[in-house]
Amino acid sequence: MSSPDTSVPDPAVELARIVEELRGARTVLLDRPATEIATLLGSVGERFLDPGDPLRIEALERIPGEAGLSKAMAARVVDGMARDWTIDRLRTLLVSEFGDPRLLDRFVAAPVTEGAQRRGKAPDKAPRTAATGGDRHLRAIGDGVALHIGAGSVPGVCATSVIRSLLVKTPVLVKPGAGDRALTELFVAGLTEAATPLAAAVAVRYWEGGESPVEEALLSSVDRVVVYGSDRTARSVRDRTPPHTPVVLYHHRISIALIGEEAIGVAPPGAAAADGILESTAADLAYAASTFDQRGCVSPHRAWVLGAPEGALRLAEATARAMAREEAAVPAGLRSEGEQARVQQLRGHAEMEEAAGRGVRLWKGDGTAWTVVYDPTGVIEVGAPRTLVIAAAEGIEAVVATLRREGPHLQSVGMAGLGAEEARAVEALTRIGATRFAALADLPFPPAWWHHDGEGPLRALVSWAEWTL
Amino acid sequence: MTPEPDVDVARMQGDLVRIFRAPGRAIDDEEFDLLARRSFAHQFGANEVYRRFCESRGKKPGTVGEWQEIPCVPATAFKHFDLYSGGGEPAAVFETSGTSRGRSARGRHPIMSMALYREAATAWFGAHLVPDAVRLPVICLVPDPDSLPSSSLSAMMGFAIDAFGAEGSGFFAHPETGVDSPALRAALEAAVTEGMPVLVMGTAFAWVHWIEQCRAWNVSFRLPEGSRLMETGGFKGLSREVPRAELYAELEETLGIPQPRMVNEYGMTELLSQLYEPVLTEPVVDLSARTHRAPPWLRVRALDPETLEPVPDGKRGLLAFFDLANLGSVSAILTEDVGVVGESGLRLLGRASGAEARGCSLAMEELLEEAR
Repeated sequence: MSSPDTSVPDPAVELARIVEELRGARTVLLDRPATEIATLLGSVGERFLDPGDPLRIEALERIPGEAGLSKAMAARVVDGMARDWTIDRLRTLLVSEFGDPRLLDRFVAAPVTEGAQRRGKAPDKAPRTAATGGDRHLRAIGDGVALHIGAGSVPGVCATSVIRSLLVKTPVLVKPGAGDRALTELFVAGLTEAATPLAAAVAVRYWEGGESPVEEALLSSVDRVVVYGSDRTARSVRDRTPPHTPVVLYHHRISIALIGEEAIGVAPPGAAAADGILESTAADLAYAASTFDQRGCVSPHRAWVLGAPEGALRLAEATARAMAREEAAVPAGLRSEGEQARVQQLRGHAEMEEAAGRGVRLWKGDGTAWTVVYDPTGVIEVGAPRTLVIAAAEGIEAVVATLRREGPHLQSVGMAGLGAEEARAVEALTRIGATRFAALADLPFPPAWWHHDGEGPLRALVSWAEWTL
Repeated sequence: MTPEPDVDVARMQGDLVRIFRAPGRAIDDEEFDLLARRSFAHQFGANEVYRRFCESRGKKPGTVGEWQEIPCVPATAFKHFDLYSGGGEPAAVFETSGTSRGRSARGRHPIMSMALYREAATAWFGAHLVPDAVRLPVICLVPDPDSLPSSSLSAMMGFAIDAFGAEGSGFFAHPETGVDSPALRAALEAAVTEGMPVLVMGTAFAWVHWIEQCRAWNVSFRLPEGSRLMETGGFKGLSREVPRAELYAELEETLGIPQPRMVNEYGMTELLSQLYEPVLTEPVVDLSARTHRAPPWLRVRALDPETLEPVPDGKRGLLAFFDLANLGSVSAILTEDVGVVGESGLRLLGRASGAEARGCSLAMEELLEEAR
């Protein structure tokens, strides 16, 4: 399997030509029902789940070198990502986002009229007048061409982004992050190999990023921009994009875990604790923190255990054991000097806190492979790879108070054993910015239809036209 | 077992002052080892937090075989612990640059003796910025030490003015309003008019600001021959900063000081000694070939970031310092900076950065950067 030609002889001219070609390919998408596009995309996506398929084999060969992940982690990531690239999942995504996927194909009568809603009547009983909106028709429409800019080293992000764009019938020029080239290129190669016309509506290219004339011209020539990256990158792209061009920003995020005492073997009054629940919770937490080597926005860095400090300490001890097992089964990949330096600073700080008798406890693997800190002080900074900081919190209010400042960056909350507190915790964290709550083991791979950073993944890529007859 | 080192702190200060006043005298490994172990013994005895940390690693005076075994505190420890090893109250407390997280997020370096800091800072500064031993106007683009007593850089520049400054020396910045551009312009114009060489000093950020101001005014200067410039903080590869080659070219164009007379200083609040490029005495044309030189009383090692074992000379690693001038706090410090240690000195490669390698997970470093 060969990768597509990604050389760019004269970036500005070449990219301008590609944008125009992509714009011309829009009819390929507009002429097909969205469900058919989902089928075509899914037929390629499913190949990444087939152990003998050349696309998957090449992906697993390339990802460790490109993304700095171990082979075992590369396989986990491909499995997790491609799970959502199947025909079934993509069709479910369309339904989840639009109810009726034909909204992407043509105008469709609004399923429930505003007038009917106001009076609590069923749609078919509502008077079909202009005043009630009874003849209101809606259409979700993609763009002439979109630019998707990836970042970082989480494989599969840009392939998912391409799929989303094509599902809403928008041709896309994509620049993957340095560690996300393999799956993006191979997915597009799969489209080409399948001889599907969709291949004409996507191009993968690289150019010097930042405030370069090449990128300035691109940002002005496309109809929508999707950018994944640091806050600084997101701000830079937003500031350089014309005001009439929508920009979808997926800036950096941070995720956490919130654990109730039931999940660490403390049974509610009158009930018996489940066998092995502590180890099971720790295993789930270690899995969530280790996947992507903790580079995903969905990766938890800090975990709170509601209740007495002893519970958090027990979970930290168990999580250290689980992190070691994770490391043995799915080793950490390469870490940058900066990541290693952060681990060393964090460990040194934790050691000093421990030595000072402030109750901090530190567990660590070989080299900088993994680190767990029990931190009753709340002063240990997170952000190092495969590192979990675990603390107790008297109640959800204490967690909210700590996280309030992270609001704009807060994303996923992994939960376990919260029992009757769960709904209250979810509401409180939603109010400060969290947008996703899931079981610990589900954190790394949200379903295709998750509200990515609070927005529908496809609805963020369309405009709505309404037609009142 | 190694004998317990002498921990008479007053005598140690006297010994250090004599060493600082002879910056050209090399200190061999044996002498440095003895001094370092004395320093460790003092800090172990005077600083409970550090003592406990060392004990947790099984290290204490008398059992440390050589100075490289003395435990390094992470630089971040200055944010969380009182690392004072002096008696009584500190003479000053220097703080690292702040963030919106407030003062608690700043590193704090308590200073046992400003006199000791003055001796350490002045001697090595003079050897690299004023090797011709002249007095000249020292023009500083930082606030004066009285208005910003928490700044180790302001203090150091104050020492430089005291030791080497002629009439016209001064501070041309304010803690709240930044560089006082009109006053700075007047000072530089006076130097040009009088044909008086000057020493100008500032952070890379301040120089970038000054260049932009000169552009806005459409002015440039031809500072008299013999002028020299010190820039600090410019080696770190933050994207907000102008690349060094570009900055130096623009400074040359704006000030008329040739690039070979621009000296980068590497310092940090947590260290009371500084490293300089010895370009005024040993000219190097290629900016990328420049190295920094540590004073004899400061040793730098490059460590494998994965294991913290020393790497061979010529290999890059995380920088760990042992600064005898830090007698009143902790001398052994592990930084997040990367460099190559070799015979010609230290080649700084900047702050170890993980942001480029990360995915969509928030790097705390970036969050802090965003908050600044």
